[in-house]
Amino acid sequence: METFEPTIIAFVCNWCTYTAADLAGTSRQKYPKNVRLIKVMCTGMVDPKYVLKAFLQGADAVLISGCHPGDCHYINGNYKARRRTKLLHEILSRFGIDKKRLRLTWIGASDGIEFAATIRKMVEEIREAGPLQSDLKMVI
Amino acid sequence: MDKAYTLRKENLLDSFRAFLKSLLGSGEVSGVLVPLRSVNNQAIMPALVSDLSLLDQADPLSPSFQLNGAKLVSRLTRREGEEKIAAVLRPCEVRAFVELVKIHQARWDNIVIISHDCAGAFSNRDFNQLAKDKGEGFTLEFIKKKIADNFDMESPNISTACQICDKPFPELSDITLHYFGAENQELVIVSQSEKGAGILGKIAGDTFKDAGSSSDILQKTMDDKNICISKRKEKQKAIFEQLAAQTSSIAELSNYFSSCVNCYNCRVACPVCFCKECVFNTDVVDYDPFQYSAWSKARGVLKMPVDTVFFHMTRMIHMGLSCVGCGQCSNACPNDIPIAELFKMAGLQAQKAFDYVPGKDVADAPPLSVFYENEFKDVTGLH
Ligand code: SF4
Ligand code: SF4
Ligand code: FES
Repeated sequence: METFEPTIIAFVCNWCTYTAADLAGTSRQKYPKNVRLIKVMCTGMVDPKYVLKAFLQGADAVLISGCHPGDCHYINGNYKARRRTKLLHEILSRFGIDKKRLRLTWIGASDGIEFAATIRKMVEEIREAGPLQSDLKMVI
Repeated sequence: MDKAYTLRKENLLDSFRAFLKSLLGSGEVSGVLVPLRSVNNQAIMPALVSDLSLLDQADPLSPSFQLNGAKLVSRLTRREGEEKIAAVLRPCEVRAFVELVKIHQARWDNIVIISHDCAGAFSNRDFNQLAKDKGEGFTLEFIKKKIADNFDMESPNISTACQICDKPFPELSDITLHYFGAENQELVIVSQSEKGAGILGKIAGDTFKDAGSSSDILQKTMDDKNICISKRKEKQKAIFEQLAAQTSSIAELSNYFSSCVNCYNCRVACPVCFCKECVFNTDVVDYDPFQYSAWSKARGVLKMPVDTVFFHMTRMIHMGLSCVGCGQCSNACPNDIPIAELFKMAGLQAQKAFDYVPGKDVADAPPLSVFYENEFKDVTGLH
């Protein structure tokens, strides 16, 4: 049987996690190609709608990743992202989208290795969890 | 200690009107917003009454609940320094008003909020078909029955939102009017704020009398109220359990909304849908025609109108934390989709997660308006 290859949408902040992803690349760290990176200026600008739309358009998981607490370049965007993620977890889990399908992590600019490891782990987890909406044809 | 006053006329409706008349007559307020019965066609709509004699048409006790009045109060209070008015609101309307005050879409400084024990309401359709034409006699019968059955919500035609409402007794207000358990049709009037106490102190006299401490009087009905609330909570639990089983995946949620036509009436009716311009009215969702074809080709089919589940989940994220459970979304739906219980169920879970009770206290910040360094650590990381 073919292994299931999940699609993961990752919203990464320009200053930390995107830089880490770049570093992972230049330092030849390997991670699976299931993830689609979307660069945003700050995790604080990830509107919950982006996450909802990603899931409804077929993503199997979503990652939001940015600077560690205290390091956000817009001072507190990551704290706002944390509350929004908390809210999304509560609402999404009501309708069968488990918390592990929406992750929020802090990955600093110099953490290329951690970035690659995070993606590897997440892909593994979601492979195991299976597709989110195999039976979903009509939903937009 | 809050003071209580009692008022007893021919019947409860007369007592209620007598109270409003002495309030308006005193000049303490220049108008009263209250559900008013039209002499032309018996329809009941909120109206801002400034002519004392028209208060004889006030009918705040009927099961008519055409719309959530919090939005109207928001309009009436959005500027500083206007004339002082009073508004008669059901408890869920007060809670919605409190949510709007928090986000500066309503002001409480110059309005007297009057709330009352709420016996529940019908859907607009049921009210218009079954009750409207029977006039004020229907209200009196209804209230008598509700007092006798201690607000039993299983009685016919009470909307689902009201059947599962566990806060039908007013808490936060300036003045509250109580009649739960009042077999003798006596209205108990209690001040809930300094403003309310000041006004009652001034206007009490011939029409209604000082009856001592409010806690002593309200204590008498406390046990029955608690029974009423716990019954509703049981009902709520049963409905939520069934709903949860019915909507356990996005596909099922989509089925739930399969007759939704994206009219957005539910959003218009929602008192805490606070956006001045909803994103679903903007060009964010003004897709190019080729986009629809692309979506169709990607899956072989595209249900139209698009974004139905997206809209509902977005709304849930936006107002779920403030959902007061008034049921007006269901009331507004042209296709009878039972929206209210779904939003209340999801909203309640989110409210619990943030330890937030909408409408409880103006000082409680809406959860997404504040954030702290050391909180919700469990939300982050892979574990
Ligand atoms: S939801 Fe509660 S407070 Fe609102 S009308 Fe129904 S019973 Fe009354
Ligand atoms: S009122 Fe009913 S049909 Fe209209 S958008 Fe809301 S759920 Fe859909
Ligand atoms: S700039 Fe990186 S999270 Fe705000």
